[in-house]
Amino acid sequence: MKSVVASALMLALLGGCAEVKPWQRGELARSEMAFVPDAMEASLADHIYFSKEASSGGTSVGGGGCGCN
Amino acid sequence: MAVTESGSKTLLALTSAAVALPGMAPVARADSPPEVTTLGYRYSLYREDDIEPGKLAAGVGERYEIDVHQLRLTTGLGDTWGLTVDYQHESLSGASPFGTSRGVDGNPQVVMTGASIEELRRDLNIGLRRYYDYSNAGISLGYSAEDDYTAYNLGADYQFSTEDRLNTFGLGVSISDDTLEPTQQSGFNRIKKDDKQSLTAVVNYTRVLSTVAQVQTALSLSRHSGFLSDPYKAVDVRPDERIAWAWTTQYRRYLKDWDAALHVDYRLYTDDWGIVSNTFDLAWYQNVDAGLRVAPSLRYYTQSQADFYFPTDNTTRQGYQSSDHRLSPFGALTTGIRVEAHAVNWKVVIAAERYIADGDLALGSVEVEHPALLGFSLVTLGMDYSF
Repeated sequence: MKSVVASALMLALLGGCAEVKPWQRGELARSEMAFVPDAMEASLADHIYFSKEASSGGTSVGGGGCGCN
Repeated sequence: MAVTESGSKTLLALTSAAVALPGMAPVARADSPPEVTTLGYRYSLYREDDIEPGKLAAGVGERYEIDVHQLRLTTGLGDTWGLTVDYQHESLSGASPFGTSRGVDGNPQVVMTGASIEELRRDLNIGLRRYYDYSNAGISLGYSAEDDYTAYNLGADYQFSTEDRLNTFGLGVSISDDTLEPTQQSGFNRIKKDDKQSLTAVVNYTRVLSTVAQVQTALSLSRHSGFLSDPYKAVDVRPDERIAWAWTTQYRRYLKDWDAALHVDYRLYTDDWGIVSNTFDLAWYQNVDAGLRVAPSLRYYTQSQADFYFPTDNTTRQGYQSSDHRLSPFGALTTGIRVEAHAVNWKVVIAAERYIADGDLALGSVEVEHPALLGFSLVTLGMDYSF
């Protein structure tokens, strides 16, 4: 059920795709629109949640293990 | 409005210049190295709540407090290369859960380590990226060292865009080789030295949806093998392999009328230890004026328990077992606020977060809540300078 809802959401998002020229991407290039607005804060947050919860994994690779407990 | 070819070039140049402004992080599909050098520093104070007296069977109830210093350098090397160097230094003190026992009321109580632990961790990561017209490729090398733990990691990734730059595809792999050498006194399950390895592969896809919206979705597969138990727990016997999947989707939308950006993230995680988790992140980046931005955020997390999780330890139990609260069923809520002041070549950041984990926050019902479920506060101060 969750997968169906997620797939429907994805289709709805992609269904709204429009042609966007390079000169129309000023808003997309804004720093607050970045997928990772602050790399250091995101790195620390990933590190904390990786250490304190059972889940890990995201949109990129990198970073190693730690003995954090 | 019709746009002439020369006009479009001008606008393209202006757009490129905007992307290159300090503090304007390039989006994933911009295939050019940083045009300025940026030095960043963050100081964070992480403090865990004490164990409630009624839930403490033995040991010290004061949990971890960690000072974190982060340094980051990003710079271009010529017209086609980019370099990123990250250094992180952590100093930790406090006690951690050692095990659980059954209290007089039948509920589990936590046994903490008997003394405060003092620990340092240093982590260095170096990344090098080569940029092409419609693609980029990067490698990274990392080293993390603690008194009792050493980890090396190596990663590589490749991103490429379609000619219209509306679609970006990426793939990456990383490996980590970790060595454990527990330094504390011997315990029931204590090892002298062991190791573990991790292999992770990620594929991702980024799509420009409109002039104000974009989405990124990624699937990652990880295999962890070797000694995966916690050597600092009284009783902790876990499988020597773990296969994990994570599907992550991130949506960004700029709202012109509000001069704000909406961030919506979702992650579904599952592994062969029986854990399924859902993570929802919401953030609102509100520009107050040209140099000030405020961003409140909310994160909700819920996970099921591992197949071999038991609320209380039992040394006579056969097979896999762990009473680690991180493998128990729970839900968690993080509330955060971030304030950023920025100008042409500098940025100052102050941020605060509050995290609470609780059995009642889980999506499913939790019959026996783990007594060591965590609460923590995180405060961050930082500055970036570009030149």
